[in-house]
Amino acid sequence: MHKQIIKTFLAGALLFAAGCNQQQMAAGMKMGSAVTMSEEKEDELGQSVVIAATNRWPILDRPALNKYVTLVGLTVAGATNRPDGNWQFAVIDTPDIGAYSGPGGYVLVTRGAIEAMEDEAELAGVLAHEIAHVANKDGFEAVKRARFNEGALQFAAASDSRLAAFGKETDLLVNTVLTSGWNQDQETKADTSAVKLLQRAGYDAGGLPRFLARMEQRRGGSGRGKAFGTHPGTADRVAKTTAQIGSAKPGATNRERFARAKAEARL
Amino acid sequence: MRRLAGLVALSVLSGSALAEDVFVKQSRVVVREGKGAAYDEVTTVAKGDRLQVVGREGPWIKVRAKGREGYVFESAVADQKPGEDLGAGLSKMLGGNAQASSASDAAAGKGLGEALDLAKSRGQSTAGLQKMKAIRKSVSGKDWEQFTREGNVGPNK
Repeated sequence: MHKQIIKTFLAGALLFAAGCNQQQMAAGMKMGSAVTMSEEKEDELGQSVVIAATNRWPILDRPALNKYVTLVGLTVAGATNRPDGNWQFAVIDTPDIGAYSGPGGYVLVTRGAIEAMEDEAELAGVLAHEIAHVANKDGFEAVKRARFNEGALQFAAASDSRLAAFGKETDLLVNTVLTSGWNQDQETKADTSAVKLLQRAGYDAGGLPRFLARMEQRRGGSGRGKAFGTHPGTADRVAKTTAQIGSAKPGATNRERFARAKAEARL
Repeated sequence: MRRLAGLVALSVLSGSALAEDVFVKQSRVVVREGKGAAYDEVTTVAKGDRLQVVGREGPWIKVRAKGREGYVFESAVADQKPGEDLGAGLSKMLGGNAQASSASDAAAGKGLGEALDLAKSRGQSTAGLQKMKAIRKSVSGKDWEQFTREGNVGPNK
């Protein structure tokens, strides 16, 4: 199995940056709590994530499927605290199973993930998890933490041009989003938020743990593979999200509509 | 006649009740044709801009901005004009340019926007980003209304 086959959506990531101890991390978070990022800045970073991702994997040339994914995404995004945001969605053409997000509202899901899904609620669940990373401003947190680890003054060296400094931020963020993944806390919070978003949007929130469980099954139930570092196993995520959903009334799965969209896209 | 006078009085009173302004509290806010991200942009407004409230529909506020009417979400505006953002100063101290506005830079002719400028400097293709934007533009507010209605999700659940 390709070592990258189940990407950040399932994986989570190593705590950001080697050598970062807990005190530094806590200090970085505390110090950063008052810091904000403009909507333009978020958007520029998000665009950079899309540029990096689509230079690796092209956007799938299936306009109807991309439109369908966008409609599902906008429905979930409508349940966030930024229902007016610049939310954009697309399918990237790779058999790997994963989804990625960049600040400002950019969400990508892989063709492989859609092939592995069985209904619209599962797609909504994966998108909701990524949307939650955006809404929780995890991208900014990643940049901020890495900046703190490197030393703010060193990072913002006076000799840096504006574009060079932006390039450093972009590289840190792209590495987090596409390679190392979010940290454990961010992943857990994104799952919790995703369940709430799905319920608010009227989707069956069970779509998220169902999809996670299927991926865990495919992975062989090993819980913690090498690719998943120190992060909680998918089984833990399934258990937590299932417990969170509890006995809440089920929402829409729109299985037939999802099957039609996949069939039309020849997936 | 008295009935007409009553209607006029009522109209004046209700007009007075709605004659309020709100201020944009985010650096950039899109005023949309409808209540959701799926709807087209009417115009964009910037932090500190004053918007005239036309009406309120749940968490959405119908406003008049730059001579046109559209909707903004309640969290994007405030009753008071926002002051200087403390976070901006701290952010600059931490990261040098964390508050830099590429939009304003681009408007000033300094570049295309940081993401596009960076991609260009690195020889990266921006075709994927352009495709993603085109996908988003292919979806209208009406498409979304129909989609949520038929799927019994979103505002129609």
